Amino acid sequence: MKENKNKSDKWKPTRRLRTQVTMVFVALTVATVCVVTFNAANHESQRITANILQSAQELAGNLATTGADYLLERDYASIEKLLLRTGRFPGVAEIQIADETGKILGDIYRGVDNEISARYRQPALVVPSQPEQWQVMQGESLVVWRPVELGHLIGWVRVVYDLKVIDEVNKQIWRDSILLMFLLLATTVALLIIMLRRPLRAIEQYTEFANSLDSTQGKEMPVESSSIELSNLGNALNHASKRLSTQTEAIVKAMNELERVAALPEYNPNMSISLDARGLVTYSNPSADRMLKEDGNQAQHIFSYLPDNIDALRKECLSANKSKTGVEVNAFGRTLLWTFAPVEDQQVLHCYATDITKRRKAEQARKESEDQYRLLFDSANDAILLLRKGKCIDCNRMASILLGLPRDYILNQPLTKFAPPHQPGGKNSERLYAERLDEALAGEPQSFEWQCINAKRKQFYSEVSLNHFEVGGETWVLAIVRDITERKTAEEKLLHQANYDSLTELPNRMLALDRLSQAVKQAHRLKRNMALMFIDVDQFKKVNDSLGHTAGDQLLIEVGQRLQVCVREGDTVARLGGDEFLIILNNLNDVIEAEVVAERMLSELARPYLLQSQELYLSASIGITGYPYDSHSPTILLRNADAAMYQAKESGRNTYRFYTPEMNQRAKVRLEMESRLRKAIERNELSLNYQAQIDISQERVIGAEALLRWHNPELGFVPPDQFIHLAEDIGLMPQIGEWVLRQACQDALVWRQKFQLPLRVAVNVSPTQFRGNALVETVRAVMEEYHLPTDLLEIELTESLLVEDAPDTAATLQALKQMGICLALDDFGTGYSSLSYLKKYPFDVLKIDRSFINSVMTHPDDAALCQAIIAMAASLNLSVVGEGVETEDQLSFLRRYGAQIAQGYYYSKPLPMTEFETFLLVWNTKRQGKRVPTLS
Amino acid sequence: MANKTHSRAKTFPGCLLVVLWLLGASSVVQANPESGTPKAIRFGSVAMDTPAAMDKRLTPLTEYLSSTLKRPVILKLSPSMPDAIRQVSAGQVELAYLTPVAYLSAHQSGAQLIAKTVTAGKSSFRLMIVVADDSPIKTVADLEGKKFAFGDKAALLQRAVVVGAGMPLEKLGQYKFLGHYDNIVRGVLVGDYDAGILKDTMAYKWKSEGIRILYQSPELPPYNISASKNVDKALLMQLQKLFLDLKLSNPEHLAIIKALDNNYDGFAPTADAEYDVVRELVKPFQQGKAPKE
Repeated sequence: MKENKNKSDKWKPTRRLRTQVTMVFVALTVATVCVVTFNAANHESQRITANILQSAQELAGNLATTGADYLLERDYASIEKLLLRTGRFPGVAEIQIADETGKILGDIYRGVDNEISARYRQPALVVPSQPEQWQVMQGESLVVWRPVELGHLIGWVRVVYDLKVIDEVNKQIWRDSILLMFLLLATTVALLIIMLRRPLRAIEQYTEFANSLDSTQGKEMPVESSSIELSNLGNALNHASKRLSTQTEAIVKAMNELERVAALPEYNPNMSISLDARGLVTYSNPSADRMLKEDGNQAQHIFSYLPDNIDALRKECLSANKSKTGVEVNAFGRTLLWTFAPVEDQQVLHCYATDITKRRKAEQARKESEDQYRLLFDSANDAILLLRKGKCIDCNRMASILLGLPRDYILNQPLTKFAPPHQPGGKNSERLYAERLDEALAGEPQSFEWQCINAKRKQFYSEVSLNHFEVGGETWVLAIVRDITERKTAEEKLLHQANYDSLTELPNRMLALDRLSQAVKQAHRLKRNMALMFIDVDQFKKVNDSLGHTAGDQLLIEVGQRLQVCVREGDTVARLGGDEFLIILNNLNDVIEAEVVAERMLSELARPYLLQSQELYLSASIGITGYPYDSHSPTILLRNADAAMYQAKESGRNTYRFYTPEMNQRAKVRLEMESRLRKAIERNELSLNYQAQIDISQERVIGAEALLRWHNPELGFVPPDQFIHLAEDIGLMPQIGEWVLRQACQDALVWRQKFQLPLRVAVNVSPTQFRGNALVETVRAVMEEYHLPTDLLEIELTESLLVEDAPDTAATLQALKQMGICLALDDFGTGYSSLSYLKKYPFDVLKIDRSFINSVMTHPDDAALCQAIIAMAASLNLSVVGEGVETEDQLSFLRRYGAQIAQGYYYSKPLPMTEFETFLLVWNTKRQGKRVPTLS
Repeated sequence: MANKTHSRAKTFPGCLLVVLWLLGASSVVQANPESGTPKAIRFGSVAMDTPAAMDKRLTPLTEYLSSTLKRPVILKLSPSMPDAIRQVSAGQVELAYLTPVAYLSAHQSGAQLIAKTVTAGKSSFRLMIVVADDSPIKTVADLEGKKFAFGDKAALLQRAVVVGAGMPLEKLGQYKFLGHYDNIVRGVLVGDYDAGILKDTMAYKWKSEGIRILYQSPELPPYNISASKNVDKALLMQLQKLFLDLKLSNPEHLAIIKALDNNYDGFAPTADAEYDVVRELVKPFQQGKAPKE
């Protein structure tokens, strides 16, 4: 077997016909062409050689003829011209024409560069003596002589011919022959390939057709008609195909017949019985017997495998002569599917049963599995959708609930059907869905947030995860959609809380600073300007303290709302904390545009606020700075705005200021001052100067106004108008005020004890000290501590306190009044106080502002006003103090019109305690006409 | 067909009449210069070459003169030098292209110089007596009894130079006229002649081929353009300018100059005094007689 196999392998063809034919043909062609070429080249070479030799001889002869005349005439130039022309003949090495003695008259030669040149002064030639010497070989040259004769010998022509040219020519002939040979071969091979292509291709097609004859089903293939043999072969194959097809049909027919025969009951593997008209079993096949045996039954039990209503069925089928199929019977653990076929004329009912027990069990198992799957599917808390080519082919109960749609409405739809056109972030829903789906199909599990719309058009957040799986060779995607609305809401709430002020719902400091940073970047990118405004509500603390935090909060809310009205969409109003707000104005042509906004804001904020049934008025101080003018840095812009805001405050509040570089310096100074001021009390840097108040009529010192002074070692003497405002701003006044009170009371006590002078000390109280009950308690405590009679304390307050008309003010004044303390209204005439307040509040003294006193002698209007004030005060039983009296005339005026007290440089400037004591001593002594004693 | 034949027959006599009229008109112009057409200028020349060759050499020049002067310039070639001299002397030609010797003869009859030729940048030349470089002849005196090769028989100057060098012709052993300098130099190299006379440029060229210069003549004036005595001053000046304007840098002028002689570069001003040296040289040959051919 093995040997046979090896033998058959040995004879198996290994080369293609095309290759074999080509090789043989090429070999033959090569041989033929080589032989022919060789012969031709050889023949040509011999011919050329003979020609060249012949030509050499003819050349010499021609020269002898042509040059004869020139030789005779000794026309050397013409001889030379002739030789130069003749010398170009291939192979000529040199030519000479000489006279009969051999003297050269003309001589040319071929140089190594193949150029023909004349030469001179060559030695005379040795002319041949015999004709045999006319043609001789000299080495590789042929020398040919010819006599020049004109009746007699007149000279000689000598031509030297280089035989190497013959070699060159021969080589050229061989080269050309070989080239021609290759050309011939290439052409021949190409022609062969072209000629053989069709037949060989036809053979390949025939082979392919023959190999697939069993599947051609009688079809014919195209027949190559380029040769008789190929045409015959093609036709033979087509006939074979037809015959095979016919034979195959016959075989199939026979097979079918066989199958039909096999289907006869005798051979039927399933139970087959026949019942007669009475219902008795007339035939049962071996399969029936086998089944009975397998189930341990006897023949009579065969009816147990039939339907219970077999009699009725039999009668029905026989009477109607109609088969009945699909009757299922369960018996002995089997499920049989019966077919009843009547034979009417024989009154026999053939019964065929197919045992479908396994099938039923498999169906049952599948159903149970499906039910389990469906249970899991539908009981999931998340919506689950099966996606095929992006569309839903199944979904669970939760999907219906989440989307608010019946299952049928969800099937065959993509997820984008239940989503808005764009997702948060602006991405197109369709595009996002397609991208995610592609990724999942490629094997990358996807998880992403997805905004859905349910049937009620309500949008909700969901988290979608996509995973792919293979089903029947196809890739499906399992989509799980989870409602994350609550989580999102909580996240947003947290985010909101983190970024927004809980009271005003405005962006808080953190968000404001972030927006500021973004605004600067955007301005830089767009090459635009932006402005930053720092807003501090003036005297907010007063409201907060007086009306309570609830009212204060409401106020802040309303302030925030009013500020928002003043800005555009895209700008930011933020609350930094307390009563401070930050405004970011984006996309400005110029920072100066913020001025308009500031004006509007001041106007809005100045409108009355209705709080606790009261109309309240507020103002604000606004600091404005801008990018890029003032800085590119958000931090520095904040600082600038703050500095500008403080400048606005210092300028009187209810205004705005643009940042200037100097403000930084001022802010810096202010900070420095603030820091030092906070420590001024503990460092004993504060002191009181006293300016005497003189009873005009009696010319006696009745008291002194205490004026606060601050001397700091580094800053030096700080003017009161600088640090008192600062102290009020930073809330230091109550502390300083208490110190002033204490010191003043202490000093007053000293005066009383030292000089036995019951001088009343007047202490200025700032409006901030009037918050709540603190002032009253402080005064009471100080008075008790120092045991100073209460009538020796005068509290001076300004008109601005009355303008606010807070309930605390009246209560405090009343309380102080009840303590017996003298109340003075300072700087009267400079504010906007209503005269009714004079009636309302229990003042004792009215102090006319120095600005009126200064001009009583020069401005009749001011003089008239002073008169009126004095008269009014008198009518109200108030004492009048003229402040800033500097001249006798001013004093006389006051005296004339009834003012009781004068205070000013006319009598004394404000003096430190020791100097004031000296003043007192001198004044009293002079008044008494005594000598001024030395104070101990 | 019959119509065409008929029209051709009618046309032919008409054409013939026109041609005859044109011929008559030109002759009338030639015969009657006072009739109002510009008078033609006749240009003669020494026969340095065949008439066909001379015509070819001189025609571009005559066309140039004609177009610039706005008057016809007609070539009137002479078969020989004496004839050329005679024509310009007698005023039968207004212009002539002459050898130095020819000019001298013509000048005796009033011919005036217009310009001289320039060759290789030089407006003068020398004639040189040459020998083979290994010749025993070292001086002119050694030429006595030797075989000498001259060029053109008509070139009196060659003989005049040899005589002027101190070697009377009769003292030479033999002399022959070989025609061209090419033959002279080859004749010497071949050894057929002991010496020969060459133009300076040729002598220098052949020095490296085995020639030695034995003697060189003084600077001699070259060929020239002369005018007959009948040419007035204005026309003379005009003609002079025209010749002097011919420049190699102008492509049209280049063609004119090189047609005349491929070795020429152009023309330069000249004066009769430049030809004194020739006068001296040919004096022995003239002795009051007409120059021999």
